[in-house]
Amino acid sequence: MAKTILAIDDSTSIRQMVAFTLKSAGYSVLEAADGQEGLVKATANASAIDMILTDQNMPVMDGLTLIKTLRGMPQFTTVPILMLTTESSDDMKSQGKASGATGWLVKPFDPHKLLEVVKKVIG
Amino acid sequence: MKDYSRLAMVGVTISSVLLSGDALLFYFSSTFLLADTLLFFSLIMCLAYLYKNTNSNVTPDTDNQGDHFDREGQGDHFIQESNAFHVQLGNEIAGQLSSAHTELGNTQAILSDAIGKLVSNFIMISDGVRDLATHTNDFSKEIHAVVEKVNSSLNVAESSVDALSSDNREAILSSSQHVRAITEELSVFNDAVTKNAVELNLISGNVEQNVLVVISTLQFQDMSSQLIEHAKLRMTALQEVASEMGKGVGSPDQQQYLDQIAAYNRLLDKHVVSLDKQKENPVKQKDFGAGDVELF
Repeated sequence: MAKTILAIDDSTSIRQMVAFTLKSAGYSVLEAADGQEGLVKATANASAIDMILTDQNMPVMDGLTLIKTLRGMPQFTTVPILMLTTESSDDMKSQGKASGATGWLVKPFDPHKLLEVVKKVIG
Repeated sequence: MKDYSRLAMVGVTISSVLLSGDALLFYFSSTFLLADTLLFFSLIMCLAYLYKNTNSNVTPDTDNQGDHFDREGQGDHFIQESNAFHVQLGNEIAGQLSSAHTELGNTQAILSDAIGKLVSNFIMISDGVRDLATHTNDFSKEIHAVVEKVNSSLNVAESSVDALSSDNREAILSSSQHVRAITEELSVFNDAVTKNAVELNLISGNVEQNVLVVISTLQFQDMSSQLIEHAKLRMTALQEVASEMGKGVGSPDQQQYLDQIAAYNRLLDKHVVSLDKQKENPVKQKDFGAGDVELF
């Protein structure tokens, strides 16, 4: 059965490119346009989601807040969460690490590298 | 506070008269000593009240004058502060505009680069797809020709096999020649398939590579669009602030200054600060290339 990844980004084109890349490698992809929608979809599909890929700068709820919220929920304590963002400062990365992020990918992403990381994290 | 000056004056007069009379009539007598003492105290108190009241009537004028001077001083100070605020705000706006201008310049450069790459990659992709189509077409023709040859060889072989049943030696020879021919045709067929498979693989590899570059380029295009939108919002916000500032020219009224400053603050908070909090500099990269990957 294909593993399911929740891709959260407010940019439709980025979301579609992430989904295209992941689907081409056989993953099943759920999409959300901001942190709040991501939280709703994550909780609604908690048992099916194998990994979450989220942007940082989004309206309504940003990526770090989403990670902190998810890490506070028992069903998401061990689910890998990767940040895919334009933010590249060490300070932001440290905040991400402290919030519970599994890894940090800086945009624009290289589709091969993205797949490599995803495979490394969830197989 | 109520003014008892008149009563105090009456008290002073009565106390003085009584004390004077007592002093004249009952000098050295201790009969009225207590009454005299009380009269003396009431006289002192009335005098003290009158003295105090006189001073307090003089003081208010002085205070009012001080207030007037203070307010004037505060007004000057306020206008100075307002001017300083205007200058600071002007500098901040100029700084913001300059920063937005630089960001837009960078974005334009990145976008130009990205568009160039995008166009060239799309051309390469369409070339690749066209090559793929041409090769597939040629390959089909080649295979068709080979299959026709193999079919004709098979037909000949079939007739040779029929002839074999007649135990004809010549037919047997001919048959083995046809089998060799078929093997050769099949070998050519295999070579053609392998060659085309390699070529197709190469073309599809190129197409895939170009598609990936297009994906990266489109991400830059997307991020640049976000930045342009961000800069546009910031410019609009600053224009609104600048327009609000323009309303205050030649208006010396202090209340209007206060209202303006409050309006600037509201606008700055509404647009610039909240805008920065909402989406802080969407594009950080200064060049075109994929970002880093780090697993914690």
